[in-house]
Amino acid sequence: MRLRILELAPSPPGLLSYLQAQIPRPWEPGSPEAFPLPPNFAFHRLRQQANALAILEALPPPAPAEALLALTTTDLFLPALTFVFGASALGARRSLVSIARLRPQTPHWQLWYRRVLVEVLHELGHGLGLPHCPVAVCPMHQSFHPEAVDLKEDRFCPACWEWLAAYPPSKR
Amino acid sequence: MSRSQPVRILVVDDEEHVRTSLACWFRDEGFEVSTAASGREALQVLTREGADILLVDIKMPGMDGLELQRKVRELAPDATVIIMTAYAAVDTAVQAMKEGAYDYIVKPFDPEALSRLVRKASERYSLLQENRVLKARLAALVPVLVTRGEGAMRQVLELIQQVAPTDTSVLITGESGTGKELVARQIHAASPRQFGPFVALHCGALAEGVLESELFGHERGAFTGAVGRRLGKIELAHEGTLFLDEIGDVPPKVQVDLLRVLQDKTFTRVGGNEPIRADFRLVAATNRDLEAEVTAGRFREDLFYRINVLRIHLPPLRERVEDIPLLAEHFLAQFSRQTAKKITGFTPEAMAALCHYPWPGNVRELANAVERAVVLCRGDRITPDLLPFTQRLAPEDETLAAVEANHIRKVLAAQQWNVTQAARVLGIDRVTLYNKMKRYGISRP
Repeated sequence: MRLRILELAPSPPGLLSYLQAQIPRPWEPGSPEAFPLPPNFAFHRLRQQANALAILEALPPPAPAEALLALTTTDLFLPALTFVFGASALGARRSLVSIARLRPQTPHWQLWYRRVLVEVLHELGHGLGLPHCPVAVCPMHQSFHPEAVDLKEDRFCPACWEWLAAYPPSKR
Repeated sequence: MSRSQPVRILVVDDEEHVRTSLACWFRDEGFEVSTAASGREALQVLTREGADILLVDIKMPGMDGLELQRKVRELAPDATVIIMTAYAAVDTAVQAMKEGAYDYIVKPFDPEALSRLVRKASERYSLLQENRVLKARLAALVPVLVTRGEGAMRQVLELIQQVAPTDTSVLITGESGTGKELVARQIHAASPRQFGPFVALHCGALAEGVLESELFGHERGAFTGAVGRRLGKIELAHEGTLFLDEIGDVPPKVQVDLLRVLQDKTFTRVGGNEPIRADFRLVAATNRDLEAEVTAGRFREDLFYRINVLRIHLPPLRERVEDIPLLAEHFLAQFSRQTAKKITGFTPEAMAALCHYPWPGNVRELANAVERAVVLCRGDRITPDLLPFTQRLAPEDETLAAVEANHIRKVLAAQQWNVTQAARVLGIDRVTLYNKMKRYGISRP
């Protein structure tokens, strides 16, 4: 499945090429595209965060056999929640990840990029319809802290992998 | 990945973005989510689709969260309600908890706190479901023992409660059909071994070799036909309860082996050498006079004292006539429900007939008689002519044993001497029928 990567704001150097190289099948990452949203779009001034749902809705619909991944540098929230690392419309092939909160407190770009990769896999999984996974090291396991993301592997557990291999659902 | 029946969440909030974001969040978590914009809509969704957990905003125009919660209690008492509130309305949320809400959470939610709360609520939901299933199972077992709390059965129930938490061996005595296995099951269900297995073995009518193999299991090649290893009931009852019915029928050799297991807590499979540890609680039952069997030398005295640590005697139904109306009504309700018939009760004449009949087959026979009457009943009350025993009145000078023997002969003949079918018609088990045939000298002509 072709993966269209939309850059909502300029990413740190090397992140996109790292993601392109690491994201596994069934996704086939294409060249990243700049997709700037209007200034302060969906931005909540008091929270200093952007509304993830509003951004997801503003993304273009994915073409058939295509998934969409948007990357932002702004911290995200859902209206009822204090923060989220990312968001997806379950099964709608549209995913959004923020790299802001995943940044380590001390500079360590390898760790940062790996966290972004794991959360990208998490949201891409949701985008295809995968719910959270009870396996603690699977990217589909739910994390609430950046450090908790470090405990997950950057490849899916066998059960989630099997699920993805059988995608689209009509094949099952 | 296990994908069992998902828990259903209903999010009730007048703010669309809250509903949408929570729905999005919970769907990712694997829940089935519905949303409602008002209390009225929530009740419609609840009636139409049901919900296991409700997240309810406390402040909504029209019906507020408190009022909605009260209505949910009436519509779906098992549903878990979590109140969503802003800081300013915490007092109201506390009020909601006093009225039965499970918990409250303040907006905007910390994702981890929300996830933990909903996980706890769904665990509570699962426990409630499990509790309901277990209660239903227990209810299916216990009713035969139900009594209004007078007389001998009250003592039996009290004894069960006292003995269940201990590991003491129990001997249950009583006529066939009085519910000896039900008592054993109830002891197990109320004991610390309740989560272990309950393994029952009817020792009557089993040949010595078969009984030995059933009890202790066997190794492959132990005897002709032992094509593989088989675990015995003692091994299967590990950390649970072993119920040996008709213990008075156990042959002398097996009595010795059984005594050894009870003393040493170890045994070996037939044809094996490896000692196996046995951790089980023994509950035995008999309809024989075991003391007389000991005196006659047919039952080992040492084994008798091992199993007769505590004795529970189940009185026959004819000795507790006061229980008959209650039991009859209970079975009537049960079988009416099963057959979807609207039978309101017994006529006074039918109830009098029930109370005057001697019930040689005890509670089992009563249940059978009521079931038959329910099946045949065309009106709304059971009349005497629907009761099986009113159609076969015996001469008044005939003994009870003679009536029973004649009736067994008649039923066997009607069933072409098929013992299993005859036992079913008589409302007793096959082993009991064999015993009665032996006692009355009944054999196929």
